Amino acid sequence: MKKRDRLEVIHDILKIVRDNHNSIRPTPLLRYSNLSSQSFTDYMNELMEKGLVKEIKDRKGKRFITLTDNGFKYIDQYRMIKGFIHDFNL
Amino acid sequence: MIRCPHCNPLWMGVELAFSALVIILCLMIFFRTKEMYKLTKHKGISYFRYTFLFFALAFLFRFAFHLFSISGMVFDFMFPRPIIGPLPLLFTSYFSTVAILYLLMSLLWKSVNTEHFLAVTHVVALSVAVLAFLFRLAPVICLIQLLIIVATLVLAYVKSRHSKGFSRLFIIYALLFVGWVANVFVMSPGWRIPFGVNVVSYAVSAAVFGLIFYKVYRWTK
Repeated sequence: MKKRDRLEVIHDILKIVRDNHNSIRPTPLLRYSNLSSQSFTDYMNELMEKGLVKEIKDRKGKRFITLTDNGFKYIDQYRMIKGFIHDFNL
Repeated sequence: MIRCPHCNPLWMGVELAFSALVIILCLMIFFRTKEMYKLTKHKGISYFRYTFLFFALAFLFRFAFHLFSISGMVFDFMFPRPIIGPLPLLFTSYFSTVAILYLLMSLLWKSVNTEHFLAVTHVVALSVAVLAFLFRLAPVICLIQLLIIVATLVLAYVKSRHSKGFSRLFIIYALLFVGWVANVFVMSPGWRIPFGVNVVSYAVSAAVFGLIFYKVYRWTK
């Protein structure tokens, strides 16, 4: 199986969140994203730093991951970004 | 006979129009890729964007150089030659060398230590600019930039061979650099290049920048 590149992994994580009504607990997200827990933590830190996802808590204090506006934009523009990077050999 | 270019209003008009066009194209490339970079923070995109920002700055100083040159024709006031000669060459050399090295970096960033490379980039560019400023050595600038260009082209060629099909980008970069080297010769003091040759060099450069902008526009529209 072809190894996913960084942009693809980010796209996959964001799509999982979006496809789960834009709200998912970290544990199922880790499971669906097919990453080791260390890589998952690194990616989540990166996504929060880039402002693509944010963490929210419900009344009981349970943590959920949700997309920001930039997260939705990333999914929309993913094909274009990938095409651009490929076209310019970046 | 070839007249002094700074005394020919048509020549200067073409120069100014060409520089302005390239500045606009480069800035449009820079700003159109802003959103893409903001979303991904992709290093390759960042180096690519900054390449065109630095090209825009290089052409801006070139534009200023020609604007100052015609000040005598328009305002009956002439900037002293020692100022308008080497100063824009200093900045143009610096920014153009940085631009070319950033383009190289946009292809290399995955395999080299970017921090070291960036430090080397600015040291090399500064050295080239100081050489240009002190000795007005346009051929030396050309030679150094040509070496960087050749390295970029070889790398672009190798990368395009690894990707699916031959990348047309390689040809575009090759044309961009041929155009740029011609431009540096035009900037050097004491140049005597026929007007027709100059116009062709401008047209090729503008077309190449236009082509790159068109490719960027197609992806970002």
